Amino acid sequence: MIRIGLNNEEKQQVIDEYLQKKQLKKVFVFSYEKFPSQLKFPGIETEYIGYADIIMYKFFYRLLEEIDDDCLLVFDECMRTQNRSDLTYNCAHHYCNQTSRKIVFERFPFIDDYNDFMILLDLINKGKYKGKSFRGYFLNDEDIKVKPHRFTVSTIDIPISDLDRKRYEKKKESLFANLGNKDPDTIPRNLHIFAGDLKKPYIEPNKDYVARNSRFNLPNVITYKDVEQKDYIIIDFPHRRLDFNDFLKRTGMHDIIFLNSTLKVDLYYLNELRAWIERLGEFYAKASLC
Amino acid sequence: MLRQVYVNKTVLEAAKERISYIFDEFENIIVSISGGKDSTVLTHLALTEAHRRNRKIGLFFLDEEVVYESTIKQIEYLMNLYPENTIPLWLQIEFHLTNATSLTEGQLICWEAGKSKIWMRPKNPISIKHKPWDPAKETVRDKNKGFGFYDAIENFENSRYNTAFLVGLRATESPNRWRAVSKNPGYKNVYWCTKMKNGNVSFYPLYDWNFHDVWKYIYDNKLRYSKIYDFMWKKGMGLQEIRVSSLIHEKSFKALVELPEFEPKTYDKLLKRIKGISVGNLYGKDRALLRVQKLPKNYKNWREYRDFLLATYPDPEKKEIFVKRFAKHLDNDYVARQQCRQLVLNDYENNLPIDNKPDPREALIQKWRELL
Repeated sequence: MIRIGLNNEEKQQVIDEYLQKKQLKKVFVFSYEKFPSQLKFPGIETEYIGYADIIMYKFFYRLLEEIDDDCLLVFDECMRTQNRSDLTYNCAHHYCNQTSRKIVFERFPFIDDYNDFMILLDLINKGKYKGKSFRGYFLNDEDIKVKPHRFTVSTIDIPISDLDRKRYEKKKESLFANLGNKDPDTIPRNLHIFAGDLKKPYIEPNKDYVARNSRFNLPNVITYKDVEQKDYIIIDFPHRRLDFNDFLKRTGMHDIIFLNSTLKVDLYYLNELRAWIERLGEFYAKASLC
Repeated sequence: MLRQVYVNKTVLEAAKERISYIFDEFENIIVSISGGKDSTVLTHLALTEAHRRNRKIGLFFLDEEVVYESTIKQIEYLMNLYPENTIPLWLQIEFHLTNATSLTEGQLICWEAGKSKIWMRPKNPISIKHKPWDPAKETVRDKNKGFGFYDAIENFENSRYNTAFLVGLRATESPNRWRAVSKNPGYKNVYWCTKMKNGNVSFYPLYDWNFHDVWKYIYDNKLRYSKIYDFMWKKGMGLQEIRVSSLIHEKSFKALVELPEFEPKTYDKLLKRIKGISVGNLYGKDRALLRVQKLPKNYKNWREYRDFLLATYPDPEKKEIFVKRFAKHLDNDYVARQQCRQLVLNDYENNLPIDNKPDPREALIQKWRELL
């Protein structure tokens, strides 16, 4: 089964109900190290395995020997790359082939694109979906339940002077000119940091903010790795979609507020987020039709 | 993408049927072995069938001299599995091998006459020590490069007639190579093979096996395998990294990094045998040096680095090979990085082919120009 959008309590409830119906020998729980699984399986031998260890020989062959149809595999937030053929997923498929009992939990149905959902379907039945792109009717074919998370995005637009706009253009040209052999993605990253710097005078002391790094040296501005479960105003976005998804998971935020310089780079990140939310909404619509 | 279609048969059953078919069709059968896990399984399957039919098959091993000691032990083990059914074809002859670790000694002549004192080990008593083909008919792909590894294989194969060569090629390990060899049926209606000269055919009975099928077979049949796999496993190397190969050519030099830890005596002998070994040991996994993934700081771009490497390339004959080859390529940084890799690793044979296409970075830069 695949369960999308559940929090830890809801996941535990799914597990508890499952355990009432099924007799199990052992449970293997796979989870990403930064989000260790909180799930409990009272009275049943349980092994928790980190995402990085999925590919390791020391686990691989032993697990192939141990996993049989009396075992349950739980993948708790294991979608960590969009590469569907990633070695980690391939190894996980081998574990999955050993048993029909699999539960996949994921907060969002995809990282950035519908097709990421195929990664989850592959865990349930690799042979059936191999090589196929996402189709809405696949949601009918397996035991899938989706709890939607709706997001809103609003902005606090800050005034930007003509001088700052000129500085932005100058910075942009200098980044292109001095790119050398650096990754071209460093251009939007650096420009976004530049735009973020302009927001400092508008940071209010009684509100919580999140930024890409600790350059502001303010007690109420923290970095993405330090966030807790509460709402933050965003000064700069992380470049990778997966990192922002992790942020949403950690904070539980649904109403996203962005301190917007209105410079093109900020608009780019903002539009990307809005497009992601739109795709998410479309997916939920498809899921509810099924 | 390579797609696997599952049928109601295990890969082991299918491989046994394929091997049985080859035995039905061919009187002469030779298994090409390397000492790795795949050829161990293939040899065992073929020898089991030969034993059942009371027939003899050849086990062909082209000894590169500079290999793991564990590989040699594995070859000896395979040659002695069913001695009554085995024709040992262990070739220990002179041929040239690329040394990717040294620009001044860019080639090793394996088993070079007059240098027996520094050979990695003495020749094996059962080995074939002289070229088993007519020297007048010997072919060399490129005389500038000398008689190389592939020439030795080709001449050996061409010296045989109506022979089935069994090779442990698996599609999942080398999809591109698999695509190339399986385009057309090589024999009758069989696609898992390639037609060769003199009525010879190269067959791939394990083509649909995955690595775990191979290990399961080894485990189930209690076969011995190269200790190098265990060392690598203990070091926690990822599944894709674990392989037993040669030690010094352009695709395998990374093995030198761990060699002193795995087989200190082999490393010691190798240091005395050829130049560049310590370079391979220290920098085999260095991104800026032998892996050629990071541009050294002294250069503005890969093109500048390539021009420097080409200008200072010490061997004028091989330099000419590179100059001619690069003249056909696009002049961009994406291609130039690959050219640098060929130069650094002495890949005059073009075993690391260049992906000659416009730089994908340019498209990304253009995108950011438009958006930002």
